[in-house]
Amino acid sequence: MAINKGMVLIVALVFLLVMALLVSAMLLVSQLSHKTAYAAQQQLQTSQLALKQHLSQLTSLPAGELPAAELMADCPASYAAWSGGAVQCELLRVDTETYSGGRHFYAGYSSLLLRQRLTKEVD
Amino acid sequence: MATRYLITLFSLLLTATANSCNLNEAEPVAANLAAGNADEQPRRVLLSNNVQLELPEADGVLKIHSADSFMLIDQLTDWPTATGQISSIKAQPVVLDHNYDGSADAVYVVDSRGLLWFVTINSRGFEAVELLADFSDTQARFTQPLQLVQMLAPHSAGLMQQQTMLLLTATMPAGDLLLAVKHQRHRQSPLQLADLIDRTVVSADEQRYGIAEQLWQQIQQGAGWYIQLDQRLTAVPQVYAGVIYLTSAAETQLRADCSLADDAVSQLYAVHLHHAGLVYARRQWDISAIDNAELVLQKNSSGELELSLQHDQQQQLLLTDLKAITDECADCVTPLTAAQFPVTLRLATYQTEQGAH
Repeated sequence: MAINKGMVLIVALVFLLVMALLVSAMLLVSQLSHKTAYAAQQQLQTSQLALKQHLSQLTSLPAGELPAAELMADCPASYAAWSGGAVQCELLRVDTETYSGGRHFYAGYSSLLLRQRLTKEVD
Repeated sequence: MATRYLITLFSLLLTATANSCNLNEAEPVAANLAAGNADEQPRRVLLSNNVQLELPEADGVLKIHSADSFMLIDQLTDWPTATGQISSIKAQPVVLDHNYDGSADAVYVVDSRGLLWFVTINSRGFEAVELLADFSDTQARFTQPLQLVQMLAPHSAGLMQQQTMLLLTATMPAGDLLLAVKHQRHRQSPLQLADLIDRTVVSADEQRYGIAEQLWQQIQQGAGWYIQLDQRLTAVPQVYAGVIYLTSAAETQLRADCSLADDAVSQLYAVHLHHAGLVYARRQWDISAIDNAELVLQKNSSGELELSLQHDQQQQLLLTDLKAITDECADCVTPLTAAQFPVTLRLATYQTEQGAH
């Protein structure tokens, strides 16, 4: 009888242990999945913030002062076209980088800009 | 037949003796020839026509020389005509860089009888020759420089299309003829003057209400337009923000060296690039001009844009309060100010992705 009682106790303890393991594993999995889900969201937020910062930087740039990446031989076609030599076109590249608070997330945006200036200017 | 030859001869004699300004530059046209392979640099070359080759009366010839050594790279003397010859090329050719890589892709040439050619260029020289237009039935002389404008134009259903427009000036006994010709690819037969729309006269209705929708549609689908002036051009036409500016004077008031008679009255034309209509309140008005001057657009000391004629130290103000055309409607214009420059346009925005998390 005493042996039977001991067996019941052991089985109960093993059962409790298995249950505890199961519960803790489930908790861990759900925490992980929450983290992964949140990570994607945070990356999206970071890239959205990066785009916002990039666009606001583009509008506030002192466009005349940026160094040109490439000087174009001819200006691209436009509706209000110019004859060759009257205007000069340059291509510029603007890069911005944004990091999230803990530097775990990163988003970078680049823009290609066309700068058109008059070739004849009297100062 | 004989009378026709006589008329031709007579009109040629008339145009040959007529006073008109030679607006071509004396130097050959400079261009870059694409590199043969990826390791090479583009070659700087010079394109010479009959005038620079000092063969003004010979058959049409075009040569490419190296800009450094003046070594002959290629020449074009055999043209796809019945005889293989064309008349002398006296008009300055113009180079097309279609893909904006800085190297010449083709050259447009017009001979003095009015055959307009499109010659593609590769790294070795001239490639294929195509006759774009035949204006020889106008009996005019085409000796003034060719000009090229790359533009976006409404094509069909309001869609914009990139087009290459060529500005030609033909010398006729009555006055100069300004032609704006669109280069239409895959066209079956060469263009003729009858294919272009005559915009010599702007009707009273158009002056008051703007261009008629039907005419505007017709021009969009057409091959170009022309204006018959009753005067001679005195400066190379310039296109500023979609407006063609040109100055002219009556032939009787021009001397042989292109200087103006003392009491001469010149005219300034401001013409819409796309439909040759009005941009300002009038399309032409009287100005006082200076001799042998060229049109320039510049910022004055108070920071405003102005159009003037310039020659050496002399300067003559022609126009302030300049306008630019816009694509909102056929007659829409907007002020063109110096404050707009430098204009910055966003072409593309892209995201750089590095690694993976």
